[in-house]
Amino acid sequence: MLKVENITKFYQKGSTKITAINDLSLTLNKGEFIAIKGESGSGKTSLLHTIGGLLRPDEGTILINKHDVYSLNKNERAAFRAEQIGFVFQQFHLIPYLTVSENIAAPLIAKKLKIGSRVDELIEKFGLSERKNHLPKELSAGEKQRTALARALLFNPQILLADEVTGNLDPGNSELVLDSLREFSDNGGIVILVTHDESAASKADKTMTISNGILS
Amino acid sequence: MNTFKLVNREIFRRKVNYLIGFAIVAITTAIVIGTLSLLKIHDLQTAQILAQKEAELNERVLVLQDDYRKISLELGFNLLIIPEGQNLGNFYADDFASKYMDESVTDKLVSSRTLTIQHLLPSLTQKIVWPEQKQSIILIGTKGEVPYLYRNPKKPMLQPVPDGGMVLGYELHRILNLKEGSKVKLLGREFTITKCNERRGSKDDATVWIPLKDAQELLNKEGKINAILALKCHCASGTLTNIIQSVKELIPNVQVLQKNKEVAIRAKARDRAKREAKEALKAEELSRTELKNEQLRFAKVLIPLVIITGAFMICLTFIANVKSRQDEIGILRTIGTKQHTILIMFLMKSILIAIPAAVTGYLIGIFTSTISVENFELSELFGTFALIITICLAGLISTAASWLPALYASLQDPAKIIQD
Repeated sequence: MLKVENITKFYQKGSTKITAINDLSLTLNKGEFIAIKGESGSGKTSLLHTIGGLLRPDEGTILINKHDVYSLNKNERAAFRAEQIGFVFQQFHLIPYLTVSENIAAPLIAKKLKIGSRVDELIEKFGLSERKNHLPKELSAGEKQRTALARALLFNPQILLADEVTGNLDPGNSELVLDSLREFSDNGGIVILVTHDESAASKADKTMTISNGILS
Repeated sequence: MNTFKLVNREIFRRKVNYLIGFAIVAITTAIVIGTLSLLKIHDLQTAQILAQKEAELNERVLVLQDDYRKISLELGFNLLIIPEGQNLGNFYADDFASKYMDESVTDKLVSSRTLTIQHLLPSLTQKIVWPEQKQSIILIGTKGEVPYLYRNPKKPMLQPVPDGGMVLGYELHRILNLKEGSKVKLLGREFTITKCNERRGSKDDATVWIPLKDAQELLNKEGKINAILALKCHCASGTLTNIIQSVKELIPNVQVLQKNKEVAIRAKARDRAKREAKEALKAEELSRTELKNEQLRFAKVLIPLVIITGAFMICLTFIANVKSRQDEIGILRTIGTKQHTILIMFLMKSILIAIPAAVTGYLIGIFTSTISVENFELSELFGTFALIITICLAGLISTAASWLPALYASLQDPAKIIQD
């Protein structure tokens, strides 16, 4: 279960203090898939990063399975993140000099877990068999995003945080990726999808809007 | 996937960055090793030169010794003539003969037409107790040098004791408290002390010299002597055997012994030649040491400068590498990679650059340092231990140089990178 309790996050821009997240609370149970919509600068990415343990809130707590994420030190939080949280981004963020299969296996650098033939399963599942030895620069946008998604799912995390994942994809690949998120959720995972895309949001169980750091 | 594999992939697929780092470490190592090798070559050459010079000088010493030997031969032989029948064991033990011969034998030697003797010193020697002083002494009656007035007069080697005079050895005048000019009695005859000798550290210090005639009278050996010292003897054939033969033909009832003057000359010659050789070697060694010190002073400036420059360039290369890998660092941190793993990732790369580059630089350094040197084998400079030390130091310096960029990379905020 994910419990976000009264989190607030400020940014300092020059002498101006900007409130990115304003006393936001949210509770998500296993298998929930929500979409968060909002304009640029509304605080959606900040919320995603805060939930993902990357951005410490100024106030409030994030509880994942009753673990206060920010009570952990940096290394413990990194280990927790590696095992419990998957990230997928609009810009894919693949490691340019690693092949598809190596990129999918990259989380093993962070945490040594026994995964058996998990990499091959994911390659198969996301239709990347033909491309597994290719570098990211040799892939299409859809293949890149599928690779990024496979990487996020390597350790079967509890939570999947997806930031505009269909933003650079054609409809076919968008569908494939959203279906994968749906499947992940159906298997008991929590999905938070940040998107502008109505059709993408429609795949979620619930759509919320964030504006000026307030979720509604 | 692990950190080492990730670093290897990065190196393999971003060759230019790796090669730049490799070149910096290899060139730095080559300059340092080249400089050190030149110093070592200098040392080895010095040893070679000195060994060669020593051999040459030893050869020169042998030549010099031979020259001196020849010269000493030309100087003639020194002989001691003692009476026939003298037990040589007793003679060597007492250092004077107990048998006597006629003083007239000296005249035979002087008048010889086949033998040339530069100096003739007849003497009468006995060990006695000086009754007036109650002191054991060696009494030598000497005539000084027999003059060759009709041949080739030489300045006398030994000053004869003047008539009525006495010369005292050091210990005697010291113990008996006698001074030059004092009058003393010996065996009832009065003498004036004409000279008190300095310390010689030999039996001379216990010797009293008086005129031969006085000694003969006091010892009741009128017309007798027990030794003739013949210096610089020559004969037509020039060999010692022939000279001794000539002497024996002239005065049959004598024994002829060779004095060790020639040996002393040779020893002195040898010593002098050796001393000269050692001095020449020392001068060469000094000059090589000065040259080495000059090179050392240069190396002491060059080596740290090259290392600092190399380290600085490695640091810049890693800063560029970190900058170009921001996105990668961001995603690795996002997927849970710990800060120290990022740090290790960059330090590992610096070591993977340093090790092969150090080996390459080491070989280049040794090879280039021997290019201009003749008769030098690479194997003389190559050392496994030195290579290991080079690798360790290169790894250490490279790691230290990449430390700050690596630390900077590990401290990057992943949220900011991903957001950007």
